[in-house]
Amino acid sequence: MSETFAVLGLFDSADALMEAIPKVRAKALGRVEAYTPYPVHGLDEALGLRRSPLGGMVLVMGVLGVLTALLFQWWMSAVDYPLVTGGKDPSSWQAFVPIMFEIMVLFATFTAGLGMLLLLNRLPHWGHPVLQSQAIRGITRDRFALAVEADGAFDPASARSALADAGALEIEVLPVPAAGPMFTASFIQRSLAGIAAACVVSGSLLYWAIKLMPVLPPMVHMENQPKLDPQESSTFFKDGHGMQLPVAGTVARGFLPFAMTTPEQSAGLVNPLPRTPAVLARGRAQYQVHCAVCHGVLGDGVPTLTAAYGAKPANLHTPAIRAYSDGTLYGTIVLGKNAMPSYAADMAVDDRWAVVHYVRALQRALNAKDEDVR
Amino acid sequence: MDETFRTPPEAPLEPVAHPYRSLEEREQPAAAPGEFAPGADEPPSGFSRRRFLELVGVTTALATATACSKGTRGTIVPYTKRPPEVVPGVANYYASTFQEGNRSYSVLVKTREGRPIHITGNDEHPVLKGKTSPRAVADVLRLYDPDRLREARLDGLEVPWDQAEARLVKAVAAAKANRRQVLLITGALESPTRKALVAELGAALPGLKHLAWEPAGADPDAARTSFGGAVAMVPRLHKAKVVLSIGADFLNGDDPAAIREFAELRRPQGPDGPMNRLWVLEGAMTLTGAKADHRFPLPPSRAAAAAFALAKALAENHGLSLPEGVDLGPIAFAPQSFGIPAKAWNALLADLKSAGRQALVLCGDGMPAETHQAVDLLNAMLKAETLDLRPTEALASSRELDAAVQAMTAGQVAVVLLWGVNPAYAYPRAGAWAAAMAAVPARAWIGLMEDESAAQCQILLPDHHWLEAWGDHDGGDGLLTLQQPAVGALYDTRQGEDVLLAVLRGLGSQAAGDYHGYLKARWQKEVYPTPSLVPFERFFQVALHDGVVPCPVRSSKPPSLNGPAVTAAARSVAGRGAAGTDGSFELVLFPGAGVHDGRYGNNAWIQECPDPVTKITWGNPVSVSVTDANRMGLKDGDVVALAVAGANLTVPVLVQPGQAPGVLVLALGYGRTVGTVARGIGVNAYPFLDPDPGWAGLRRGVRLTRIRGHVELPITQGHHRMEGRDLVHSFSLAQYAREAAKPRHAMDPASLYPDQTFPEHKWGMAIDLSGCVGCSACVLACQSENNVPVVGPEQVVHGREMHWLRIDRYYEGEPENPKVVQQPMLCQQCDDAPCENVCPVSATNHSPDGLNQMVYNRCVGTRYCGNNCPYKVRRFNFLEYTAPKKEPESLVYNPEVTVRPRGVMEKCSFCVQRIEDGRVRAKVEHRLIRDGEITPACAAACPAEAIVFGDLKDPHSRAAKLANSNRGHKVLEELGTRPAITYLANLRNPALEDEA
Amino acid sequence: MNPEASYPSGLPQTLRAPAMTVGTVTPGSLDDQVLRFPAQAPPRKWYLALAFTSLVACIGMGFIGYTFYTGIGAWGNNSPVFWAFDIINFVFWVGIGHAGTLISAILFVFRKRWRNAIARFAEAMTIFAVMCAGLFPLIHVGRPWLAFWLAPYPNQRGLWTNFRSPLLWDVFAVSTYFSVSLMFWYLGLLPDLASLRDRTAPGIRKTLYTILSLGWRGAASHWQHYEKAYLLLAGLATGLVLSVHSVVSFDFATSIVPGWHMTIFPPYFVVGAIFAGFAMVVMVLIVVRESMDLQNLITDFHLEVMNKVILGMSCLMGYAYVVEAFTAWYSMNPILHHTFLNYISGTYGWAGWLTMGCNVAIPQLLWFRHCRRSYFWMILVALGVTVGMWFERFVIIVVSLHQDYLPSAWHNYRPTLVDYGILLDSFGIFFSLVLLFARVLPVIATTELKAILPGAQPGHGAHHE
Repeated sequence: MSETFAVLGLFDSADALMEAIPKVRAKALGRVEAYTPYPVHGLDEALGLRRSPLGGMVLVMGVLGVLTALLFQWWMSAVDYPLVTGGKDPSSWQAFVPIMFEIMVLFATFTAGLGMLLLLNRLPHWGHPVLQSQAIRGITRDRFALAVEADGAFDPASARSALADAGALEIEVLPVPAAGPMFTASFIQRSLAGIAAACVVSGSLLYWAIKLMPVLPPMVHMENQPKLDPQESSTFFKDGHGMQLPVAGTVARGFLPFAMTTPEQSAGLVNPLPRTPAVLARGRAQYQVHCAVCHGVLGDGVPTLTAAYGAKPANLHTPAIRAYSDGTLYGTIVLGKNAMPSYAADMAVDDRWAVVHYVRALQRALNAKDEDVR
Repeated sequence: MDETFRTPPEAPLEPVAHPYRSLEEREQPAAAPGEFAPGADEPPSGFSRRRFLELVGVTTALATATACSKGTRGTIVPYTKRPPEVVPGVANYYASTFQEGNRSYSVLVKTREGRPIHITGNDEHPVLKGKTSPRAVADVLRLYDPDRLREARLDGLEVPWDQAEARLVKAVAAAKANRRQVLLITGALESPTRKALVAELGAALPGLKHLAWEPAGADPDAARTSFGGAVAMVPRLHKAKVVLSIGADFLNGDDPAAIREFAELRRPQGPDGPMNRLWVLEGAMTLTGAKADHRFPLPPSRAAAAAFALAKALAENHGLSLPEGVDLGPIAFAPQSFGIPAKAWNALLADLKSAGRQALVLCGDGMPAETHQAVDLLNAMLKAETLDLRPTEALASSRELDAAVQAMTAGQVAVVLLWGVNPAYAYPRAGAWAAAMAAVPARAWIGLMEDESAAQCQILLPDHHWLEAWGDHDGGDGLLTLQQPAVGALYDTRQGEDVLLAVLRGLGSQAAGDYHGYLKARWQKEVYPTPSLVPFERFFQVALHDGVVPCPVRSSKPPSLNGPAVTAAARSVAGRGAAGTDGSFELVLFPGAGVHDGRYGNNAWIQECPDPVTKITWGNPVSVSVTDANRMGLKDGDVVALAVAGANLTVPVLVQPGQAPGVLVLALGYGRTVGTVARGIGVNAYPFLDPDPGWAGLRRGVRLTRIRGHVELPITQGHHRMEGRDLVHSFSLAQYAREAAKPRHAMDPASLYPDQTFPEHKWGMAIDLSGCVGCSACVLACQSENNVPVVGPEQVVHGREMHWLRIDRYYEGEPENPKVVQQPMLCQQCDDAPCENVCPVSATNHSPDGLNQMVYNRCVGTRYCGNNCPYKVRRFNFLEYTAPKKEPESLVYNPEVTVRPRGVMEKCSFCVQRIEDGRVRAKVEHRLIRDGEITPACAAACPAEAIVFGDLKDPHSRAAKLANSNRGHKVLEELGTRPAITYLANLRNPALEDEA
Repeated sequence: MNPEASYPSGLPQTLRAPAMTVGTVTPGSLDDQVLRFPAQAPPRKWYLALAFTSLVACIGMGFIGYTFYTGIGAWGNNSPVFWAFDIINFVFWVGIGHAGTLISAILFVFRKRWRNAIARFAEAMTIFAVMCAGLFPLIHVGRPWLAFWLAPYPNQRGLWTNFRSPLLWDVFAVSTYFSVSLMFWYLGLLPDLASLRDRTAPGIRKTLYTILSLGWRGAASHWQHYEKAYLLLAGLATGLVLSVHSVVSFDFATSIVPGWHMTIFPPYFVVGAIFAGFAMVVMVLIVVRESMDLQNLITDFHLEVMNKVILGMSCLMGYAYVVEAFTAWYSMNPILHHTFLNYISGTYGWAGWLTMGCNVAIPQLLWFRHCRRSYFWMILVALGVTVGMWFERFVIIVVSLHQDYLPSAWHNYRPTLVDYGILLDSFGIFFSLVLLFARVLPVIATTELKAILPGAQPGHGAHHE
């Protein structure tokens, strides 16, 4: 005979139960607990249960809900990504109230429901001895049970008699369940652990889904546009280029072509820019970007890069070139000369003139006369 | 692995035979030279280091491309050699010219990477001042029309150009040899060089019969009768104090200069003017009538009588002298017989008299010839300095065409060459035309897209679109404008002039190789001022750059009025009584607001742009006056049958307030039978044209009978009254004086929240309703600039049109002759925008410079913003309207504006892309944004300059000044939305205050 | 001694009035009567009904799929009527849900004992109705696959939602409402599941009930917390149910559309919701009562009380209409005047009259005791109210929108086949769920009923001991 968990007495009415409780409790045999098919008024006083703390818990969580909602909304709309809508200040709180209320209710109700089940009533508890008893079918139907539960030195016999005296119709002794039935605590823990693991897995899956989803159709974000962007290819134009060349002979607004056809014709042009440090600096920058690779940093025709191709770039310090007028140099930049291509497309008008100034400076620097030194 | 090798790595750099354009295409390399790219299938032994590195590079690149899940963007294809003027991503502008009939418009073509995407007026043109006609704006779409004929055809078969051309040349040469007639039918030539070319052809080909025929144009005989020669009448509205329009719709947008000059005098600084006055007598309801200060519905058949009556009254009671040879003896009409109260009649006479030379009388192109004579008489009596009479090109009247048809039928014509005309559709008696064509052995056709006439021809020669072609045009006012291609020919086409040149050469003349050369040669001869310091090349380049050059006008003395002809006209008018007594109607036929004579029928933008007056899209219902509709119990959409000798139609009805009783109005240019877009839209009204050219625009004796059936009309505005709401302010000058006296109280409802601040700019707009005539140029400009989709008639019926900018048109007063106000309605960019609050995902929110911005790819489409927008300017993509668009159609899209897919809300953005562009330019040039530097498409297109955009934070900006005008008013301000758009009240200048 | 003995038959009516139950009902007999259904095989007519409703649901799903494929253009919506059937149905179904919460929560707080017999079913209907309602906000957006953007979840774009939008308040309100109702329902179900567990033979179903009942054993200490929790939940749910439809009404009340921008909307919507919900409950209960022979538990008294509530709500609705109209008139705002005249005289004037006829006129029949007790009349009224309340939302949404501020933008609305299909779909889903529920779970809260049976509580039946 295994150890006793409790002795259970069955009654057939709430009144009978209520009458029995004081008698049994008076004997102080052990912890007295009642089992009823529905809530019976006054039972908790009779059994001397202390007030349920649920109210307080709900209150706290409700307040917490309000604060959480306020904080989150404020942070999201005023701190993390402030946007003005309808001329309202991002941190204005008026519109946050409805959601604060909803979150309050959400927190409070779940505290009430789950707090009662999980915390106060310690449910789920599938392995409780009463569930194994004969009486349970009656208890969940229409019978009322009074249990004297074993604690410390417990004498089942006296408990039996006490219940009998109290008028129990049937009396049942509940042993402490021997072999763990289906729902042992450990099983529950294991299954809970399993559930937790499942949550983690599905959680991470969800995370990746959220990371991935935005780039999988139909999650398109208008990145594929029917319009033709610069440098895109085209299935329509024969050359496959989305970017077409202007028709020969046309003149675009603001791009009047260079009137001259040879540098010599442009000899007459005068440099419109003043020879100021700013202009020279600009010329230097442009020179080093466009010219230095061939003509060399000093303009002495010692190439930095193009030597490999055996190119023979001009030395800008030869008397001939020094004799060029500004216009001729300008014309050369625009039209190119011999192997040198036109730089019209790459240098703005002012840049070209600035480079002319800079080349003049170079020429003078490398062919300084005495008075320059003086 | 191997498939990553399938493309030569250098494909982007120098175009090889078959570069692939997208990864899909790479999947099935249709015409790839070999399975592998060169080198890919070489054994490793033969692997040079460079080749290896190349392949590694390509492999990695393509691997990356394939790895990326949205890697369907195709390859990057840069310029091999970048032309100086083009920077990828930056727009270029080309001055060119758009021609329509005998009008030409100097325009600026906006191109991106050598691709036209938008058209505005040429700001260098001294008269047009950067404005142009709505159709010019919309015609960029026709360039990319997939229906265009893409190659030459011979007997329906695709052939090389030279073969087709040779066939034509042979036929012409043969005709010349056998002294047979060659018939060349073109639209108005208009271009001096083109005229010279045709003249040269005529010289080389004695048998050439050339007809310049505009099916919907004015009757050239009218002017011939009055002045004994073809005369163009150019109004000078900025000089006109009093304008009397007799059926003339000079504000319909065809003449942007007229609108601008007229609007200049509609915007007085204060209540004491100066402001012009517009009197209108018309049968139909037109934009001009809508703008009138006094408008009297009058059947066009009675217009001549009214005009003569005016002339007589002026002569007898106001001491104006009749020109010699004119006798108005028999004219005796009481003003009441025109439905004009005596009071108003006298006011009109007084007005004309007092304005004297500043008065102007205009006659509608479509009006009967006699009316033209009467109006010419009036102007002659007033000695109006407000009207330029300029000798012009003689167009062929319908009589000449009839004669040509007879000649063809009689088999006298060996070759017929149609160039840019479509008589099979537009000739009133299509059957007769078909028979005539059948009798001509050689039939050639030059045109843009295969039309009804092309079907009757053997030789089809596809023409350039004007954006691909060279040319010059007579800009009027002693100006020549040049036309230069903004893009190379998209298809295997040649411009018509080149064909004529080929024919010339075929006839043995030494004509230039191509029209470009021919044009330059002629300019060097005729236009280039010699002697000159500038070499011709330079001169021509500058001309192309500006698009317009002044050229000395040959001063010709103004043609004088032919008195006897006028007298004769007066007699016939006097002889005739009031028309329409037999219960029959007179039918006004006018070129459709958008499709014109039908040539733009295949342009979806134009088809969906609402008619400015009726707001109808996609079709041409017949307009019936309110009186007749009530009498016959007709409602919008009821189907009726129209019948007249030799023609009948079934067409839905549209009840048009303000239309004269007994008058029907029907637009020409619809009912095309070819064209993906145009086919089956509306009905073809050409058969109703009167055979007598004098009465072409007006068919009398039309019977209308109600038949079963009702259709839903695709109208964009179904309700026409303001319901007494304070939406549009419209004052007479007197009222304006009273209003201006009152103190203006700024409506500023209390708010829970502090006002928002705008650190840098606060963009805003002022729209002067007194200037706005409702021509809808802004609507089309917006559509072109912002990639606004077209939804089609069914969706318009559902109320799902997508225009970001619409023009609300309201009628006030009794429907028989209402007053009309126009109000361009676009996003008001409210400071406290109701739409922003309600978007759950903040897809619409406010920018620091005061824009109500719409983030398309954040929008999930709850449509709440649409509900909460009191102006209903938000548009929702109910269906997928844009994605099906493929090249070439999609080439017209503005690359700077996102194309919106379905399920997304969209709206006017104040052309934010232009604002950003301006901001960047200013930043690059280290300066502040100049006032007027940034103009949204609508403001740029508005001929009346009624839309002004600017920074409201800058008190000196034009927009800010106008916004503070005492005519200013914000729509639905009482809702506290604080719109950024101020509407300036519409002003009227009635002669009689009780008419206000 | 035998428990039946303590309930001698022929007990004087007065002691049992008001008749919560008819005839002799003991806790045992109650279990036998109510808990037997899950065990039995359903009758053929149940299968037929389920087949029909689920067929309708499936067809409707087809229409929804079609909408996903083509876009909202498949519906009749247009500019300016951007919202139509989609939001009408949403508001309608949320409203239906409210009756359940009212019965289970508010009447519980007010200790109305007659609620116990019908609470379970009403709560179930709440949950199903809210499920149907939740469907519509999701499918009505232009890009439904992105509907999840309405949730403020941390994302790589660093974007959040706009907490100033009433639509977002909806998201929170409706989801909270759903989870709270579910919790409430489950708590009430717990003891019944326990007794089901102990009545079913071992097998899959027993295991299911075992797990669901969480090992409930009716201990007095549990009951104590249980009752406390139930009371708290009831109190909170009362506040919630009032807030939810208020928030739904904010969608309209906080926007500026004439006819929407009304301060009376929150209470007016709540009343309307309870009104419609009760009508639906009455209809369903009648069917359940007859088909499952529950006349002795769901008595004429229950039906009559509910009909009285309907009558009361109907009068409140009438009052709301009058006040609304008065406000509009008193505002001296011509635009508002136009909107209200448009309700009764415009293109859709018939809808306005239908609404008032069904919601105000027809329910007045319930003043007559006969009508309150006869199936014919109460079903007639209930049907009328359901139709009327749907059309009330039609009037509020469509008729207000189709003529708002700028006459130039006015446009009529015409629903398409797809609109109707999806409307029916929601009914199909709802009734399928109701049918399933009726066969797998106790349709009556037996535990709660036991607690109010005569003599159930100590001291009550003492005198005849």
